[in-house]
Amino acid sequence: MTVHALAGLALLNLVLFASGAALLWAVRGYDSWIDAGRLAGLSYLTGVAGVGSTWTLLLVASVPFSLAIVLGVPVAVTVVAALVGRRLGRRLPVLGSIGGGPGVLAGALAIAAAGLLLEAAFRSARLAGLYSWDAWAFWVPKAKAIYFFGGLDEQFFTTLPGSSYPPLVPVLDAAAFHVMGSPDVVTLHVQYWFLGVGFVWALAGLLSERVPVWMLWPFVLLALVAPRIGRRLHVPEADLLLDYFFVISAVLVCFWLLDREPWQLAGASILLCGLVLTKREGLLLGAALLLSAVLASGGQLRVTWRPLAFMAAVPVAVAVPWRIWYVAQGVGGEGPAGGGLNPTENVERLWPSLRLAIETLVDTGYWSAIPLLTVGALAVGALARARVPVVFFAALIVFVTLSGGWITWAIPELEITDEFDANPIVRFMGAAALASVAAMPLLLAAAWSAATERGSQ
Amino acid sequence: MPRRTGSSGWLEWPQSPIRAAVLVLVAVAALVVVVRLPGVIEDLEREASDNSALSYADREVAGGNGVVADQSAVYAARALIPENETYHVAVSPDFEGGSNLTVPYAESYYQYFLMPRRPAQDASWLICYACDLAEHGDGATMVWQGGEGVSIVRIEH
Repeated sequence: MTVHALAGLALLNLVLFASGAALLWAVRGYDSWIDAGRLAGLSYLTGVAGVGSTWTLLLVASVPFSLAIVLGVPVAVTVVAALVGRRLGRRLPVLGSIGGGPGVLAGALAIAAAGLLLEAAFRSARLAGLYSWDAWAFWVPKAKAIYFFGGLDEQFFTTLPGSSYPPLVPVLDAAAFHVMGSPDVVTLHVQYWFLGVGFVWALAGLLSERVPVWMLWPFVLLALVAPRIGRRLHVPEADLLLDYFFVISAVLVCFWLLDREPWQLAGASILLCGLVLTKREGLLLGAALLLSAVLASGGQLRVTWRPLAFMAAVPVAVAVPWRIWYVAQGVGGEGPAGGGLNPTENVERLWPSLRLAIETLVDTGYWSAIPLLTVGALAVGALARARVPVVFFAALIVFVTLSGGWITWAIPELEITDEFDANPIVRFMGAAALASVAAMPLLLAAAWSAATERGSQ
Repeated sequence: MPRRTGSSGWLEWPQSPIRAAVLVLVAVAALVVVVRLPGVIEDLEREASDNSALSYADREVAGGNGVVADQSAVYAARALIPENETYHVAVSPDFEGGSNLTVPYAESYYQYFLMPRRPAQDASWLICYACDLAEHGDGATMVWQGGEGVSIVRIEH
């Protein structure tokens, strides 16, 4: 680990942030610099998804992956988005003001607590070795292959474990190697720390639009102290990045169901591109998100289905080239061998598989108090008749849980256990747990507002 | 669920069961955070301290320390095998050194560690874990030998 490597990573993440900020400015605009700062985490994740997807598509198109591409693509995205934004009449933000009152003090305390934890996570990441089997067996070797050979090397990409896994994470790692100047697998952990910080900022920044500070931060911090989340922010695997894209796009879709502002779906669509190129489970999670939005649309479906279909069409189109590439290389498909759609197959595994998914989701050893409090928040939201967020997030959690059960049922080689090396169920259910973290403050804020409105009538 | 426009509505004392329930849930979340946060930070600091106490080699080889049996073998392989040449890892099923991870995973660990060198069946270099050199003919010359029966062999085809 060197100062040069850390400076390189800082530069990479700065250009990713800049490209995402320009994309958001183009599709949304900023009211003020305070508004832009609040959405800086969303900008960063949008940049990671947008630029990462572009890098991936270029790789599949056999464009050599070099330092020029690593830096040129985000710069090009920034310039093009800025030009589009200008053409759409976006203006530079005004200064704005933070406001005052006890909320600022509570926010400062909460940010300080999150900062303490993230600072400790940084120091842990800074000199961490690569211990996870998934990381050294295929994620990082794929990244090294891209770094050393400049493309999707046929030998490594067809023989390493997980050959059909989409390559956004190895591409991101390879980009990090380029800016660090070497395949420094120790400092690489800091890149994942950056992603974790970006997610926390994105979640808090987005939700703060609708949730007061005192109601928001206990839940954001709750995610950080959950054993399966806060201590794994720096692990160079795809699971948490997949969850970040999923949860932030889910929040944007929920907001769109409430506000119908086009930028919310545009932002979700970019994040979903990242989702489907991060892990093969991304397609399943994307489908769960779309179905939940359809359910939450209720009687408005005649109005909502077209924008939702457009939102889904872009990531589906982005997912296709990689699938064509690996099929052309003779790599097996991503789904279970038998298709996993015949309910008469392995009937004896159906209920145990679903029970495993449910038990994993409610296991406080993984997720601390998140599942228990989510049930409470959904109940309070339902009592307050906050229909859209309750239906959307309840459906989302149910669909993700059903998907987790389906994975175990449809792949008979998977043991019915939450042991990490025998079944990916804990990794997968992280999506439901993190979605719950986003759901709770939204549901409680909606319930509080509804009670206020009824009290004033 | 309206957007926030000010702080007045959020700071009123709860007058309904729903608001009381909201307060209870937020309080429980905050309590869990207060109880757990110091422990999580302590764990992360301990991990940082453990990481920084490692030697450069232990940190770089990391997960491989439990796999390759002899750490010096991976460095010797990286030093001896040119980047444009191929290698093969041969682990005898009878290899008794290392751990229970050595036989199943040594090959994939070398693949990760030695890139951009490519693995190949007819390679010019052999990383040998208690393998039988005689099987590789007269062209096989041992160029490095470490502990636990690990050796690196040059093969002239």
